[in-house]
Amino acid sequence: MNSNQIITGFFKKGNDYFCIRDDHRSFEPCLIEEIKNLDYFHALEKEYKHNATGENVFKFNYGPSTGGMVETVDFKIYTYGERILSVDIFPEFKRREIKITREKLDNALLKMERLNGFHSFSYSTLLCSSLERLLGIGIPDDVRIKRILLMETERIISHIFKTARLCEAASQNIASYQLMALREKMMRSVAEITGHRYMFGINKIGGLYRDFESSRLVQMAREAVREYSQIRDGLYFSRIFIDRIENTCKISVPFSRGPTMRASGYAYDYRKMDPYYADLDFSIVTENGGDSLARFQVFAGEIETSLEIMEKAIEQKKGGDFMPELVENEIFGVETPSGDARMFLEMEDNRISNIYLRTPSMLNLEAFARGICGNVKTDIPFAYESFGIWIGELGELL
Amino acid sequence: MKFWPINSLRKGILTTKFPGGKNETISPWSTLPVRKNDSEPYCPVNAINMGKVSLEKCISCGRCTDSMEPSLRPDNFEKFREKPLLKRSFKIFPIDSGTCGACNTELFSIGNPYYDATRLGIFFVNTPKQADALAIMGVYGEEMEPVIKKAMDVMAQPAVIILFGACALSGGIIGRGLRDLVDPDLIIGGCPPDPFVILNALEKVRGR
Ligand code: SF4
Ligand code: SF4
Repeated sequence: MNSNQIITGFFKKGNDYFCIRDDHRSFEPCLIEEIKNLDYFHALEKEYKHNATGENVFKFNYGPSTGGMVETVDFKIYTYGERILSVDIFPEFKRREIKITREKLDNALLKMERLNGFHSFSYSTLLCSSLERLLGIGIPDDVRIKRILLMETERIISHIFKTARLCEAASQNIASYQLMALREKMMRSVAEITGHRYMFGINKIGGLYRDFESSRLVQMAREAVREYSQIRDGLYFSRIFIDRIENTCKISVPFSRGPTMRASGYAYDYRKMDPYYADLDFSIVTENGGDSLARFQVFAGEIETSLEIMEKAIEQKKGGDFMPELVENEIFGVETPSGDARMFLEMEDNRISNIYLRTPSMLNLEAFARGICGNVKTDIPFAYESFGIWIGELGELL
Repeated sequence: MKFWPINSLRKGILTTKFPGGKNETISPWSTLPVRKNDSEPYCPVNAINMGKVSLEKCISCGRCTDSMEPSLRPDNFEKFREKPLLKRSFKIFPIDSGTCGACNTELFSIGNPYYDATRLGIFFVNTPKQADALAIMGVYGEEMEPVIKKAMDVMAQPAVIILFGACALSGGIIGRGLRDLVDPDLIIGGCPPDPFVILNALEKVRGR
């Protein structure tokens, strides 16, 4: 299936509006009416209200701060009793305002890697590579390879975490513990190899602040993927697990992002457009179910693809500088572990003067809100975990 | 289904003996940096004063690496009051005021088999009413102020208030901290704090 080059973001520059489309590297002028007509327009404005009315409909509150969720988020669930009719989601309880414009570029980078600490390396690479291209700074090709290795490691860790949370919510406690232990083992190795468990402080505009041995990282990934495969096979044999996640939170909308979108059969992965991955052939993992089971299958498939990419990347010893050309009106992007983030940047006097960032969680939160309708309340935790949503990403970049 | 028990046995015992034994590992830059030479250090958040690093301000970025190096010590915390009545069981309710997500996942890490905080009587609970401690993380946010205050009001005494991570302590590089909103019994530094530092700090505030 093709995502039909749909609009996934928009921003204002002066008095004019511009939109971002899948498969397009440049932003395009558009009319605000066109954007407002999108049925997911409010998600691009970070609003998720779908209130339901009717006799005997009541509102059930879940959040904003509850031990069951990793982050602060408030749900108002409309129901007659058990089945969910619709849901309002309020992410603004923890909305952070992060000042990026007119900051020293290195400070902007430190802030960007803290937009979503869990996917910090993807976001820091997005900012570094965009600034490098705008400023005409070439990086040694070895740095490109090392950034790919860290981004793919981050994806493996993130997918393991999501699978573990999914197992925990579906009462598969042993599998969940084993996956959390595997993630911990990887975090310890990452800290040992790079100096920080979450890869903070490594990226630098024009290079890396801390160099590391690529082969150690790849060896760690090999062992982790081998261990993951055993646990995954155990889960495939667990009828209880499969029954619990099959058909829950079924969704098929081309505006959803990353593994969520690919689990509904849309073969879109920003890495196919990313100049970093130009010579690294890989197949996009898709499934057709659109449910939590399909998302789990995509995570499992993508963990293997990430290792394949890493193996190919360390074999590429081109040497020289890497500086892909800048296309006109370029809208930058990165495939984070939860889906593509797209960014518009403008500079003035060597500082960022204008920034717009559309993160995957902005759209995946809307996909979740739609998919959960018709499910029962107890489905919320594992349905939510299978979308890889991070509320931190909904912060405002100023 | 024999797969799970056999697979668990194959992995052996993973759990640390810490704090009984030494911590096996630590995230280097999450520990407080110390001087390695006399050169003037650079720090983007002015965390270094006369060669000493403020645990409240340090964002674990490693930008001072020309003059400083990670101490690798699991003591990046400060205890202002001790609550020995909580020696036996210690139930924690985490509150995310405005985080990047890493403080949240690092706090939950102490529940994984490598740390197994339950062996020390440390548990996570789903409401502040059941909790002995609030671990508040992230920067200040207007919408979260009443949520934090309400959580503190419903807790039984004795209760421990923990400010967790550089954002909560000073705002880090992101925003405003929470020091003027709450009077903490314990502060834990790092961006994010390392799980060994977290375990160490939680044990000390209970007087263990
Ligand atoms: S690690 Fe970063 S924040 Fe901490 S003292 Fe060094 S430069 Fe400052
Ligand atoms: S202290 Fe660091 S890790 Fe914790 S929320 Fe703030 S930026 Fe994230």
